[in-house]
Amino acid sequence: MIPAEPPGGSYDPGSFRDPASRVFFADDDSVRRVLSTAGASDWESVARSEAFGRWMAAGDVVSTEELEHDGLTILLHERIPVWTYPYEWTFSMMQEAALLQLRLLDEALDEGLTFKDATPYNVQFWGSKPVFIDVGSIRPWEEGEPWLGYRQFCQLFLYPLLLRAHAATPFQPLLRGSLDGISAETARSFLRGSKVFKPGALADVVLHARAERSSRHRNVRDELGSAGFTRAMIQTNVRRLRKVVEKTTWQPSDSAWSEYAACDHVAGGQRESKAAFVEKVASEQRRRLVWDLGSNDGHHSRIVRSHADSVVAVDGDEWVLDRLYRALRSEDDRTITPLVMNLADPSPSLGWRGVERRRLEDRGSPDLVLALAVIHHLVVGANLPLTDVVDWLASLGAEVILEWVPPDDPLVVTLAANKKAAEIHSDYREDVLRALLGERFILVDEQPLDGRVLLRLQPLS
Amino acid sequence: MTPLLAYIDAGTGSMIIQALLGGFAGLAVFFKTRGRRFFRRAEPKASERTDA
Repeated sequence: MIPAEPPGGSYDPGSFRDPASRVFFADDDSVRRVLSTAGASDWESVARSEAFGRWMAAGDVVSTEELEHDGLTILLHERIPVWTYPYEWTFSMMQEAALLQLRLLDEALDEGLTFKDATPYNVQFWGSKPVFIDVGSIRPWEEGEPWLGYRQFCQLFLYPLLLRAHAATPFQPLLRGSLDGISAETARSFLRGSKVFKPGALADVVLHARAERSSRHRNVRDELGSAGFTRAMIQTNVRRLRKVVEKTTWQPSDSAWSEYAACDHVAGGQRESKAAFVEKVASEQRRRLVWDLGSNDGHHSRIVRSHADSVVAVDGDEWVLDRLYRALRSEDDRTITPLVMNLADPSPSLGWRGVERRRLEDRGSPDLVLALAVIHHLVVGANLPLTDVVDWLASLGAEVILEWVPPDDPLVVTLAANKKAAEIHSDYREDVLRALLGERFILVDEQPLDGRVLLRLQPLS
Repeated sequence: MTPLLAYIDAGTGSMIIQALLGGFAGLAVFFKTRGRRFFRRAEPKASERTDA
């Protein structure tokens, strides 16, 4: 049994489903895991395996060491600096996480181990590198047992990828809407006609949906075992799935791409002076965590990277972030993590009791926030009151570099093209902004930028 | 068989189909477990099963 209270600290509100293992944050802020008797016995086999040591050395699985505490088995995990959820990942991040899960399972089976589940919530990103964090998910494989995580793998890894690639459907809103993921039946409804011939669609979606509909409540686990189900059969399936995931690629429509290429942050003339201002501020001191809001292609995240432990590049445009992610991955970057999110509709607290998955603000406070060419999207584009936006920025308690984009800026005019003047907040003015900022921040420095202006702000308190 | 430690619903259909996707040897297991049943619309009633 897992104790009702952890030995010092508090349980992670998102860790409670597995009766054999539970994560807690200790009083010294370290991340620990307490194991039940059964969990401890599984862990013994895992710790002894050759694969587990290899995975930790390669950074594929979070660094873990065993501690003893009054007869309880406690594991100490290395803390992953930035926490993201699958509904905030880009296509390629999901794909990398899926391939990691499949490879680990394949290698585990070689040594007689398996995974209890197969959920992307067990993967976090250290910069661009996916890291498997749920050590409690690994246990010895039992003779005759199928892969219990196959259904979950489909619902939370495979169907999101297939829907994005073949049905032009972003998976993030679907995963945010259901923490259990996309059912086979739902995936089937997206993949009609010739799409059923895409890799994985026929077997993992069509047949899977049919199987789920027509075979309920049978003790099929025992039946399969008696009929001679082997781990080699799981491996055949897992290797097939690896090929399916590798072959599944996403290319958005031409129009989406040309829209991006026409954006001013790519071709804009002020790109260099803006970059120099950011570099100057960033290089003054080392930051633990930087948020780059409206990061676009990650130009400023990359500038800040050498002066920070971690950078979160937040943007609502999945395609731009996916390109950034693939570039970072090829550089083996361990600092910048892309995060797909519309700032006007951010990730809420979700799940059981509303705390299983946390909002971004509750996952670590930034010490520097870049809000470059983003304010007009919030106030003019999403109609958030300017006061609210400034209030929110101040609530982060961080130093901020804010770029003011005036109402007559061509980009703002474009954003407002389909709105009447009366439908836009009339306080979107530089004098109003400065007055609001003056009540909440100290203006440390500023730099005009051809009609726009860069403001360096330090929180008052 | 000893009871396994599983806390997620592995899904009956999801387990059966794994035999189908497990290569040639898996096919044999699939037919041995009468997994072919799932091609039908619904699970047969208990009274219809002779070998349950």
